[in-house]
Amino acid sequence: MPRNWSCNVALAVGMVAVLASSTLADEPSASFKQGNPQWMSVGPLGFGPDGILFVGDPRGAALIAIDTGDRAPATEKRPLEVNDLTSKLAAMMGTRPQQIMIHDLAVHPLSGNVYLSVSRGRGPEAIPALVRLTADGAVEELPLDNLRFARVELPNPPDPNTVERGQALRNESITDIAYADGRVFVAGLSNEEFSSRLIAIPFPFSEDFDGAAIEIYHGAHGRFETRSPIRTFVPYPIADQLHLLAAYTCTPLVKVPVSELKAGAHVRGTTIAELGNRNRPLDMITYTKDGKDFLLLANSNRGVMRIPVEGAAEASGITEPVEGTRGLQYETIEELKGVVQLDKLDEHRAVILVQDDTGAMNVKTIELP
Amino acid sequence: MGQRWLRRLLGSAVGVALLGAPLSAPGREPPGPPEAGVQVRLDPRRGEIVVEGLDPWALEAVQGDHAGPVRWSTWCAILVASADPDLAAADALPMSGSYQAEGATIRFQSKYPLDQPAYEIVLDRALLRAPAALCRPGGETPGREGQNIQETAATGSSRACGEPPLRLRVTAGGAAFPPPSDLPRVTAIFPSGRVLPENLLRFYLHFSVPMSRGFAYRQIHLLDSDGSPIADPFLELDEELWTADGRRLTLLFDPGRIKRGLRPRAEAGPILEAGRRYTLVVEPSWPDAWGRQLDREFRHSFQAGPADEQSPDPTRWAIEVPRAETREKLVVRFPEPLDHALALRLIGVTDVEGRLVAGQAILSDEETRWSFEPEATWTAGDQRLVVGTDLEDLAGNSVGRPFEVDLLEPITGRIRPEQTLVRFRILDPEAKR
Repeated sequence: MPRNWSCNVALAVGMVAVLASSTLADEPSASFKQGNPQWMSVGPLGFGPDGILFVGDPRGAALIAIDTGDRAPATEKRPLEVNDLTSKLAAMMGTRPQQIMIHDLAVHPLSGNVYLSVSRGRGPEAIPALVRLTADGAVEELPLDNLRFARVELPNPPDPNTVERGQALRNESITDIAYADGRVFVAGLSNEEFSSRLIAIPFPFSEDFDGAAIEIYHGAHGRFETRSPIRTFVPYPIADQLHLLAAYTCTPLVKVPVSELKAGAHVRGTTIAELGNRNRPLDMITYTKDGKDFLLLANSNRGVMRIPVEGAAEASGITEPVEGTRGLQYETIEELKGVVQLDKLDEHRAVILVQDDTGAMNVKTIELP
Repeated sequence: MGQRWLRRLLGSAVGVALLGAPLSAPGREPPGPPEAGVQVRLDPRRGEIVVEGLDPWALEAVQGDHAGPVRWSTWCAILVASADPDLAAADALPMSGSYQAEGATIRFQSKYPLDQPAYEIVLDRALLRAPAALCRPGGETPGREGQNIQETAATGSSRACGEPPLRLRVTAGGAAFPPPSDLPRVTAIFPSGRVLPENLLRFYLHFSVPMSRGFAYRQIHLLDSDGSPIADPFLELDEELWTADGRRLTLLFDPGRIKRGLRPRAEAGPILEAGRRYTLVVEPSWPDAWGRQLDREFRHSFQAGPADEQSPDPTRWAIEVPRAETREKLVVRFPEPLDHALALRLIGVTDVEGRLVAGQAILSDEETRWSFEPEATWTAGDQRLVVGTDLEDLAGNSVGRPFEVDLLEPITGRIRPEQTLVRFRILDPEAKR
C-alpha cells in the first residue's frame, strides 16, 4: 500500500498543514469507539496521521479507521525480512498456506512496522485478519473484535449478489485507499450505471463527503470506460494541486485533480500513459531520488515499472486508440520480479511482498531503484 | 520463569519411563494410551482442544511463577499436523487462540475454525506428571538451570531437561474426518461434447469428494494439438469458483481473449481456434480436502468449432410432451448444447395453475437433451416450460442477450424479462378416446 501523506504532499500543501497535523496529534482518534467494527472482509490499507490505519472492508462496503496503538517513532527503521510468510500465517491461523490470501501491505510511517490485510480462506466464508510484522521478526495478529475504531459506510455499493463473469462486484466496492490532506480517498465501484468512482471522506469521519464517477479514455481498448475500477492509486501534487495518479487493468495511467471530486460529479481523468496490455497493476508508490520524482508500479505481468513523473503535468492526455505503449515512458526493474505489494519504509527504502517461483510469499526490504 | 519448582519437580519421585514417540488420540475414540498419562480431545464444534492428565502442581506452578499472563503456547503449542508426520516443522508457529489451565487440564480455544484433518500438540515435558522420568536414563540435562529453562518455544527443548517436547496427534471428529472411502478423482467435465465453439466461456469440473482450494490454476493445463501448453487461458480469480460442497469448480476462459475487439485477444490471439484440437489436463497432484492426491491424471480432448454468437431461442426447442396421468418424462431437445449448471438451475415446468412442478431434471446427449421426471403424475392442460433468461449456451450467449454485446458500455433503455415461457399442452386422455 502506498504511503500517502508522504512529504511530497506535505510540501505541496505547505507548512500550514504540517503544523496543523502536529498540533492535532491527539485529535484524530478522539471520537473512536472501543469494540468490534463488524468486519465482513479486509482489503486495501493506508496509514493516516498518528498511527491511524485505514482499512477497506469491500464486502461490508465500509471504511474503518483503527487505532493501532503503535505510535512510538522508531529511531532507526530496521529492514524487515520474513521468508515464506504465507506458511507462517497459515500455521497461526490453523490452515494450509493455499488458504491464505494477502490483500495489502502498509508500512507504519512512524514505527516502521508492517501491516497486512489477510483472509483465511478463499471463498465467501473467508475470515478476515490484520497482521503486524515487527522488525524483530514477530508476526502478530491484531484483535479485530476489540479495538478502538471509527467506521463509515460507503453509499450505493454494488449489490452483494451481483456477479459479472465470475467476479462478485461487491468485492470491488473498495479497490484502493489513500490518505492525504485530511481526507481518505477511496476508489472502487458503485451500483450506478457509471460505476467506477472515487470518494473523498474527511477524517475524522463525517457523513458529508464528496464522490464522483470517473470516466477515462482507455487507449488500448480504444474507448471510454466508466465501469472498470481503478486498481491502485497514489496522491501526488502536480503544479501545487493535489492529484491522484491512478492505474487501471490493461494498463492506463490516469491523473485526476482532487478538486474535481464533488458530490454527484462525473469526472474525466486524463490518461497520461498506456503501459501495455495483458497486465494488471497491483500497487504503487511515489518517491524522490536524485532530485527526480518516480512512480514505482508493481504489476502482474513484468518486473516492477519505474516511471519518471516529471512529464505528468504537461501530459495532454491520450484520446485515441493505442497499439502497445504511449505517454509517460517506463523502465522495467528486472530484478524486482514477482512483487505483489510495496510500500515505502523511508525515503530510500521500500518493503515489498514478493511471490517466488514456488508460490511462497516473502517480505523483503529493498533500496528504492 | 521460576526455577524453584522445577528443581523440586526434577528431584521428585521417578515414575515409569514413558514413550517419547508421538501418540495418536482420535477425537471420538477412547483417549490415547494411558502410559503417557495425557489425553487429548478435540471438539471442532466448540473450536476446542483439551489436554488432560497433566500435572496440576506443574500447571499451578507455571501460573504462580508468572507475573504477567502465561504464554501457554510456549508450554503447549497447537499446530496443524502435516499430512506427512515426518515433516513436522520445528519452527512452525503455534495456532492463535486462548488457553485456560485448571487442575490437570489445559483448554485451548482456537481463534479459527478447527477444520483441518489433524493437529499436533507439542507439550513441554515439565507439565507431565513425572517429568524426570521422561529424560533419558543417565542422559544429560543440560541447561536445567540454564538457557533451557528460559521461555523458549515449546517446539524447542523441554524445560524439564534437554529432551525434545512430547508430540501428540489428535484427529478431527465429525464429518471432516476420516475422509470418505471414495478416492479423489474427476467424475465429469462439462461441456462434455467433443466439438466446442471457439468462443467457449467455461468448463465445469466435478470431483468425487471435496477438494482443496487454491490449486486450480496450477493443476489445470490446456494443451494444443502438439501437446504444448497454452499460456494463461483461464481467468485466474483469487476466489476460485467452487460450489459450497467443494466438489464442482467453474473454470472461466479469459474473457479478454474471447471477445472480439479487445486488445488481449488481438495481441495474444484467441485461446481456441476453430478446427484445432485441444486437451484439458488435470494433474494428479491436486490435493483433496484431506490432502490426498487425485487417483490419476484426468484428460479431456476436444476440437474447437466455429464461434457461436447466437442467443439460445427456446421457441426453437423440440418438446416431447408426456401423456396425462403418467410420470413419463418431459423431454426437451435443444439445437445446440447449453451450459450444464445453468440449464439444470434455470429450466423448470409450471402446471396448469402456474405452480412449479416438483421433479428431477437431467441433462444428457452432450447437454442437448433436458429430461424431467415429475414426482406426481401429469395433469392434462396447458403447462409451461419456464426458462430463466440468464440461461446460457456454451459461449455465454444468454436467452436474454448475446455475449458479444459490449458489457463495458452502459446498457440503457433495455428492460428484459427474467423468464421466457414456452407453452405446451398435455392432452386429456378422455378427450383423446
